[in-house]
Amino acid sequence: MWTSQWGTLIGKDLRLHGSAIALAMAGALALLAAGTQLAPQGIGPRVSLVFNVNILLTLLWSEWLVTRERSKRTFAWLRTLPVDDRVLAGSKFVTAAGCCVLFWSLSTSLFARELWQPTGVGVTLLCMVLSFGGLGIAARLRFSWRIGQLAPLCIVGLPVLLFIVFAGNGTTRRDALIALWTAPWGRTVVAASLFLVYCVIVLITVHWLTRAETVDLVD
Amino acid sequence: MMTTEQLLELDGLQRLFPDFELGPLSMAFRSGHIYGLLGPNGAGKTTLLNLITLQLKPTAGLSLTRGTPIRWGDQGWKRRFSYIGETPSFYDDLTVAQTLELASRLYGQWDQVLADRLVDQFRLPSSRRVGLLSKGTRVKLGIVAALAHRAEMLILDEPTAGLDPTARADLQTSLKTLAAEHQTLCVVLSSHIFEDIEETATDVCILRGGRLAFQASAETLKAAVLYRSTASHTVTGSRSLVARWTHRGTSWVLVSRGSDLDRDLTARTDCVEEHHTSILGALYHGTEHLDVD
Repeated sequence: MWTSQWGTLIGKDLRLHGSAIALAMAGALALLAAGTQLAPQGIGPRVSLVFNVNILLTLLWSEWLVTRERSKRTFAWLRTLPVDDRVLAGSKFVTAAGCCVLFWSLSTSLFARELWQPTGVGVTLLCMVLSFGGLGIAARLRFSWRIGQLAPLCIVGLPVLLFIVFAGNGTTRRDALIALWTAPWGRTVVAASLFLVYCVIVLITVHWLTRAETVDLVD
Repeated sequence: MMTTEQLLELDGLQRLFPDFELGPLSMAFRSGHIYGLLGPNGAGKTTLLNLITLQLKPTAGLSLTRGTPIRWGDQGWKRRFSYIGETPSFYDDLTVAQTLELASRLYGQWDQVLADRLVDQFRLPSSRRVGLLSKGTRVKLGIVAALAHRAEMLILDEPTAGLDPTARADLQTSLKTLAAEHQTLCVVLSSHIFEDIEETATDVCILRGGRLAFQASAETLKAAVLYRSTASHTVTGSRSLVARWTHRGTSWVLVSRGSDLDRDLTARTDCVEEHHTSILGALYHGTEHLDVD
C-alpha cells in the first residue's frame, strides 16, 4: 500500500505536469543551444550558463508541483484520503529531484560535457542544484505562495552575500577556500555536505507536514 | 435506517481559536443515520467537520471510532469516511474517470462495479475534465468515490450551497436514494438552510456559537407540537418536554404531541399552538437561549 502510494502520487504529478515539464526542458535546452552560440566562448561562461538555467528550472518544478496544489486546494482533498503524509511530502521531493537530475544530465551532456570528467565539480554542482530545488519545494509547502517564492532566494542569497563580502577577490579567506576546494578530498566533502543539507531539508519538511493542519497547506 | 451501531463518538472535543471557540462537544454518530448539522454561518459546522476528518487538531477532547481513539493522521479512520468539502477540490485537469482511478489507487479498497453503476446513475461524464463540471456534479463525483471505497461515513459540508433549486432537489433525491440503498452508511450533512436538513436528515443537530444547542431525531420533531407564549410562564421538566427557549421576548416550548404537557398547554390561554411554523425553522432561529431537558 505504502509503495503503491508513492507510485500513484508521483504518477499523478507526471500525468498532470509531465507534458509541461517536457516542454520546459525542451525550451531550456533550445535556450542553452542559442546561448552557447551567442555567449563568449570558454568553459567558464558555458558552465555558468548551464548551471544558472538549471537553478531557474528548479523554481519552475516547485511552482508546478506544490504551488498549484496549494492554490487549487487539492492538498485538502488528498489529506482526507488515507495517504501517508510522509509519502505526500516525499513524493514531491522525489519528483522534483527526478526533474533536476534529468535536466542536469541532459544539459551538461549536451553543453558542458567537461562536468562529467571525474573531478567532482559536476557532482558538487548537481548537489547544489538539488539542494536549491529541495529548498524550493520545502518553502512552497510550508509558506503561502508569495513567501514561498521569495524564501529560497533569500535563504540562499544571504550566504552568497556573506561569501562575496568576507571572501571576495584578494582576501585571505578566499585563498583558504580555494585551497580547501582543490584539496584531494575537498570536492567530495563539499558535495557530501550539500547532499546532507538536501537530506536535512527533506527530513525537516516531511516531519513538519506530518504535524501540519490542512489549513497550513492551502492558500 | 435499520443499523444503529455507534461509528463515531466525540468526547469533549474542543478547538480554540483566538476569536472563536468550538465545543467542548460530546455527541455520537451511528451507522444508518443521516445527521443534519444545522447552524448559521460561523456556528462552527465546518470546524467540527474538519476536526472529525483530521484536517484540524483538537485543543482538547478526543474522537473515538467504535471505542478506539482516533490518532492524528489515522489512516484506518481515513479509510472509513469520505469528506466532501463545500467546494470539492479535485484536480481540475483530470477527467472524471482519471479522478476515480486516482481515488481507487489511494484508497486501496475499491468496488469498481459499484463505481461504474453510480457513474451511470448520476450520469457523470467520464471523459470530461473535472474543472468543467458544475458544483453539483463535483459533489456527485465525491459521493461516487465515497461509496465505491465502501466508506462507512459520508461527510458533506454545505453540499447544496450555491446550487440552483433544481440541482439542490436533484442532490437531495440522490442522497436519500443512496442512504436507502446503503443502510449502514452514516451521513453527516451540514447546512445553514434548514429546508435541506428537514428534507433529508433522520437526526438534527443545531450548532450555535460553537456549542451544540440542540440534538434530536427527526421522528421526535415530527411527533412534537410547538407552543409560543408572550406571557412569562414556567414549564417544569418532563419527558414530554422536547425543548424550551426564548427568542426576542417570546417563550417557545416544544412538547410531544398528545402528552399531558401538550394538553396542559392547549388549555392555557397564554399559549398558542404554532401549526403553521416549521418546528425546525423555529429551533434554528431560536436556539440562542435553548434549554433542553
